Amino acid sequence: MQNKFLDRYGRAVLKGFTSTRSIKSNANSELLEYSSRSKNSLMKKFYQDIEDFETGKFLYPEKPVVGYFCSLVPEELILACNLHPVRLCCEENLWTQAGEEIIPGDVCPVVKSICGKFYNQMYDRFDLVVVPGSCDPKTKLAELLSPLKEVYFLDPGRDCDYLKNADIWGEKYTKFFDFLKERFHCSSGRKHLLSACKKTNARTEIFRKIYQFRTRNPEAINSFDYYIMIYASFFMDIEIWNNLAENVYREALETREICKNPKILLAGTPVIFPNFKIIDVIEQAGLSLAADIQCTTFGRFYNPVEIDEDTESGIIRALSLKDIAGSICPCLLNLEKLVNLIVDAVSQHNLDGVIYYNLRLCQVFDIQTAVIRQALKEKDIPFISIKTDLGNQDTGQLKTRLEAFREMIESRRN
Amino acid sequence: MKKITMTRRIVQVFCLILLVYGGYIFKEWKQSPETEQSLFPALKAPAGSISITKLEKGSILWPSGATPVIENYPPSLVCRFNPKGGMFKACILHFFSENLTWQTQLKYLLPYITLFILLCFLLGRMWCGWVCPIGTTGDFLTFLRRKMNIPVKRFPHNFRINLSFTGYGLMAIALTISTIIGMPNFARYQCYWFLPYCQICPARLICPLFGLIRPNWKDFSTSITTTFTLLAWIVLGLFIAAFYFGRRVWCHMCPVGLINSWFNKGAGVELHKKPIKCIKCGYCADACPMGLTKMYEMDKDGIYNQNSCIMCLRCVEVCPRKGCLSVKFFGKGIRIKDFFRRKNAE
Amino acid sequence: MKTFLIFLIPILYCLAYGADQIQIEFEYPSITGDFYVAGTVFFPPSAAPDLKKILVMDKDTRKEIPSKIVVQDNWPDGSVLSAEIVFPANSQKKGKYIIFYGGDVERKKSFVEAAVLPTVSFIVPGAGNTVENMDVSVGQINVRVDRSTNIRYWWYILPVFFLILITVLRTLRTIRMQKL
Repeated sequence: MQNKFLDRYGRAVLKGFTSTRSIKSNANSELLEYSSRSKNSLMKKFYQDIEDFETGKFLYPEKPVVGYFCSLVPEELILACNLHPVRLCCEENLWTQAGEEIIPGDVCPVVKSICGKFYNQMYDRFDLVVVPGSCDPKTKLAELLSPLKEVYFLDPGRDCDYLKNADIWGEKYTKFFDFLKERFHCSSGRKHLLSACKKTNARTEIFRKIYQFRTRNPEAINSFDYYIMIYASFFMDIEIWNNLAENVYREALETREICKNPKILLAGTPVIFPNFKIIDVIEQAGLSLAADIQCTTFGRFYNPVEIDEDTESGIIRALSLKDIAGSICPCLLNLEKLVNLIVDAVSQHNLDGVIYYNLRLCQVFDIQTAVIRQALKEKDIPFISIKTDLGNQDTGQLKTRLEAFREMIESRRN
Repeated sequence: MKKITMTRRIVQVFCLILLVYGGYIFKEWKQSPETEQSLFPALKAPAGSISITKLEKGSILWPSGATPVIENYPPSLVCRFNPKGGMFKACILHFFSENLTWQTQLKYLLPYITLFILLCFLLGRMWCGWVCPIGTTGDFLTFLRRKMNIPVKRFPHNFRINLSFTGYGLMAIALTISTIIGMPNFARYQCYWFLPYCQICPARLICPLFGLIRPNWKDFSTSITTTFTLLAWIVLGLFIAAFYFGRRVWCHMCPVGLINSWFNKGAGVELHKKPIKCIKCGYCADACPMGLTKMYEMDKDGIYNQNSCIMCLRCVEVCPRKGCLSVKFFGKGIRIKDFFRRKNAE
Repeated sequence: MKTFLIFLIPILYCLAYGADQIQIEFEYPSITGDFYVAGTVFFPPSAAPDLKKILVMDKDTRKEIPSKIVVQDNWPDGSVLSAEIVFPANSQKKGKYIIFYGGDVERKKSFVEAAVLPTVSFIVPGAGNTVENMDVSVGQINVRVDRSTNIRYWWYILPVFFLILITVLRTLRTIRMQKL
């Protein structure tokens, strides 16, 4: 079950790289700034938890902790084995610089910062790391992390066509489930899977409510709060998160404000704490981020698990459909679907424009830009693509561009 | 369970009770001599014909029900072997084979054919998914399998196509035999070859069980009845296996369903798809009990009605995107999603 | 195709071999004890190839009854046209009897008239559809008395054609829609 090729190639070479340099994250100061802008009193718990998580003080439940990357890894299988799933993703400049010691060069900044975090003992609590073979950097990441942690490599393939691949996905997920059961000595079955799916479906339901609410009224839960909630869902216990998010939604319902700014849709690279530069710039430019199509938010939460066959293999198959076939990951063959989604969301929610956010050095997002630009041009939807990195040097320039974009939208309106 | 499926289950159970035990409810409605003058003439075997005189209790084809109260032939399967039912008489294949043998004049059949075509035109093959007692029985078998945690067997596309050819073959053989034994020179074969499909149909053995009546499950008196008995056992085994390990695999070769399926693409119940909303998650194709994939593949706006579709509306129900798949009745939205609004719908 | 053949072959087998049955009707006499039942039966051409292919059976117990069968006439192909059948019956156990004949019937029990007993003659209702008794059997003539006029039934042809026409048109539309 364990990926043996890592022993042959990765492990011996990379052993000496464990850095001991202590890095102080500046996440705390940013958190304070964002929480001061929040209009929702109940958001404090989320901010507190994120601060704990970033400084390593977060109290995990008394269970084994399993870290995973991407939406392609079925969280429900980890939940069903009575483990604590933590979705890992990191876009922080400091950690990127730390990761530079291990992988120098023009490499995906996300992989760099994840490596930085792992090699500085940020994730020591983890018992297992699940890495999907979604894109090339992630595949290599599995090898880079294997000297530190036990790594399970899950390769879903790049073709997300249901007809060709449904059986293969089912097999792969079943193998993963078997591995989890064997590794953590638990006997999970149909009932555990069903209850796990129930939890995630409850989360989907709450997320849908918030998503729909924000398309009409993006100011009541502002973008920072929204992305903080999303980030908190990465590591918080799912039931606690559901309760808190439900309460936040209820509070937001009461304090309804009318949004006058042009509403825009954000697509492209996921926005991960603390890299909220793009949201900050959008807000400063006088635009409201009303909807988004990203893998951390829409792609991860929007589809419920539809269990048709409530047998064990049937549930696992349903999970594979939700996570792979319904995925909007740019690494898979689903560009047409993404274009359709953007066009449909704009017309459905009466949005004024689309911002395509693209993190430098991520090629798959970059390649898609031209196609989306062309498709939206045909539909006469204002479109701007932003390409930036994790640093703060180009904030002023981005702001100017987005202000011009807003003026263009407003002139179209009148 | 989701709302549409729940409604479907309730309708199925209600129809099962109505079609199987309906005769008990309407027992007072005796067949009067005026039936001849009513809207639908009662179809009778010609007096003294062998198919009637030779049918006795204990014969395979002896109808276990009383005399039909309302002589009608619904598009879905309702059996001659219903226990004391007789609210409705039989399925459409029974109707054709019986009257071909009796050589009933076409004019007497026209009212029934009109009603059948009208119902099929309005609702398509919805009968199979919502009404058919055999389908309900099969769904119960599928339910049992799920409870026992046995994974579903998904049959390949070609196998399902071949099954429908088999169904057409059976139908052709049954109707040909019925026509031949209706001719005067072959009338003596009527006592064995009357209703040839009914003799091997699994409904013959299953329907009496609903009324706790022992079906005539074996008759080894002659080689023909022996063959029919053995065939009926084989078909029953196939039927149970088809429903237990697959989902609605049997419905691909049911001749009654095949006749209904001719109306499916022109039916009033239309299934619409808007591909711009589709996220290609494959939930619809995965949930389809008939194993159809048109709703997944289609990338143009329009109707995706298929001949084999039994209109269980499961695809519409599981679709996570509002407005992607929808049901319409003659192009008018019946807003089924609003009636049965799911919790996590948009 | 294979599935189709699985169904086809047993049906062909059925066509090749077979047997038919004739029901016997007679009234039990008022006397008690054993008696003979006798009567003449007509068979269709090549249905009963020879005497061995005809037997009498108790309908309830499905047991063969010893019988004496005498051929009276033959068809041109040598098969039995008419035969006189005699078999013993008892007034105590009121059995029902049927005559079986056909290619796969094999008579095993024969019987010799040992004692002189009263004889009851039987008739064959409705069946025995041979050329000889074709014109006497009223059952074969389909009699239907219908006093209503034809228009009461034939007008249904209009909605039938109308519905089929619309169905065909809508089907064509759907097929055009689904064409890639």
